[in-house]
Amino acid sequence: MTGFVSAVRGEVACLRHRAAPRVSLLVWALCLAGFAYAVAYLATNGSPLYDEATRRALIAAMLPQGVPGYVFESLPMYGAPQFAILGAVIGAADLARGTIRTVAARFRNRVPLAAARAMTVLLLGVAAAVTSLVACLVSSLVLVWATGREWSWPALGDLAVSTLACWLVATCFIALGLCAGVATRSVLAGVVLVVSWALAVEALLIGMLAPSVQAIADLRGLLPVGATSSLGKSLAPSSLMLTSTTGPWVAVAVLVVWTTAALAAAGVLLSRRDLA
Amino acid sequence: MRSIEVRSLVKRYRSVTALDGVSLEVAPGEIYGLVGHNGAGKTTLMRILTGLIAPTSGTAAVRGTVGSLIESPAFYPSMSGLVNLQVLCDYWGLPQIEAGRALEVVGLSGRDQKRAFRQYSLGMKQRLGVAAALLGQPPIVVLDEPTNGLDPQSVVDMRRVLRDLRAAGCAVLLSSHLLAEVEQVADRVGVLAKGRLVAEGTVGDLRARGGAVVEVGVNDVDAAVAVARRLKLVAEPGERALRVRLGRVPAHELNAALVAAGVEVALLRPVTESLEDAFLDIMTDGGKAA
Repeated sequence: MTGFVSAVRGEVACLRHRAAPRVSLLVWALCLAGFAYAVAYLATNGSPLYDEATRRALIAAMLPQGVPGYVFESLPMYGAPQFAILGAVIGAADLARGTIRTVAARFRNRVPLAAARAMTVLLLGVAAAVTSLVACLVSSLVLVWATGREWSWPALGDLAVSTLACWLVATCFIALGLCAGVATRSVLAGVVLVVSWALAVEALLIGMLAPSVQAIADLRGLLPVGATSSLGKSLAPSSLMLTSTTGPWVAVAVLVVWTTAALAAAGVLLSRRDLA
Repeated sequence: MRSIEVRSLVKRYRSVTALDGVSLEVAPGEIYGLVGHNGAGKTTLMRILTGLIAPTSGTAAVRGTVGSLIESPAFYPSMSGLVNLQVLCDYWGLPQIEAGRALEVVGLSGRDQKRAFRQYSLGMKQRLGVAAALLGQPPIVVLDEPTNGLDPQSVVDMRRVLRDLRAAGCAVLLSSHLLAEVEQVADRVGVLAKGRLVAEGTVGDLRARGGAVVEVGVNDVDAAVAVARRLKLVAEPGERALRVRLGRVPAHELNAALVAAGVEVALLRPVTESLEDAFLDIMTDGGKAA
């Protein structure tokens, strides 16, 4: 237990001093502000594709009262790879640089160290969820200030549920990235692996085939990006970006299973493999 | 009670045998020097002792925490030396004050502590690596080439650090290519060749392993070499003298044989071998056998 507590303290101290988490979350917050709000508002407001009612509904979702649902609009396509990249960097950088050897040399049993790294993923998930919600809330307030639209604060209950769901999604993709980083021992290989999976395979390939092949549509709900989309759709039913292939509780279960499997695999690799 | 006990240790990587039945012990307050060519298995042995890699068979028991520096020191490049050590203190459950203490021991103090690791010179990186190994004053310290990249003054300082560790009862296992360094600090030395421990003992034991060496000044070097070879001795000819490894032949017997062969002997004196000479002899004999 002492080993685990001190290992968690070390992991947190390390993350506090490393640039990767801060840079990654800052980039994500800027992406949300820039693309999910500024660009999306301009595109929606001036688009001849929408009738007035649709346009009004889409813009209302961007205002503070819509934040609990709107935060999910960007998660499957953009948030997932972003969080997975962060996980891959956290997982692989230590192995590629050799700093894991320096740290692990005093852990005769590496299980507490691996468990502490899993705990770090859960904490990073909290940071990612809070960053996402805060970035959306601030962006929506800026939108209100710039456009003078009527708005209200989101319900606290909705905000709490959204934060929890966001945490689950962020944790899942950070864990998957961590697993890929630990498995490949290379930041680049880990990043390529998770981005290829999240973007190329899940979001594009399976996303394009799902409407025409039922088996793929069924499979989609069991994959992390598909489950994220389903969970988001349950929180933002009017969203045009999100699609639902399973119910929200199944989506939660799928994300929990993927998170657990990824953390367990990373833990086994980290604690049993030679650190040469 | 030994601090380090290695028994019949074997490590195989597919078809390559990195360690082949190595056994050794290090007692508290002892400095054990490990020498051998690149790829002999020194670093592999040290990695097993710190738990970084698992042995294929055999045991490597350590009694107490092991502080180590293995290969090149690896730290977070954007953090300062001090912060790197403070983070390690957190990981290892040590008070952060240990970081400053360890940095002072290795002579990294003041402004150097606060510079980013990526700005460190090779010698500073090495000293930081040794400081990390000394964090929390562990009872066992394993150092792989600790003087690598150090300037002469720092090498002298490192020698002092090692002797202080010994005085404090710490068991030290150190490897080095600088045999003169090992010779100056090690109580016992082990020679690794192709994964096997081919020789072990005090520096004096290893020097004496091939018998005494004498320098013989003669008027006819070629004739003297022929006499030495007739006695089945290894002779190394020079310009006006030769070096002869006596083995079991006493010096007076060599002298008598030379005189009997008509060689004038102007000088016959014992030569003190360095560990390097002994090492090269062992590698020539044992290394081939291994």
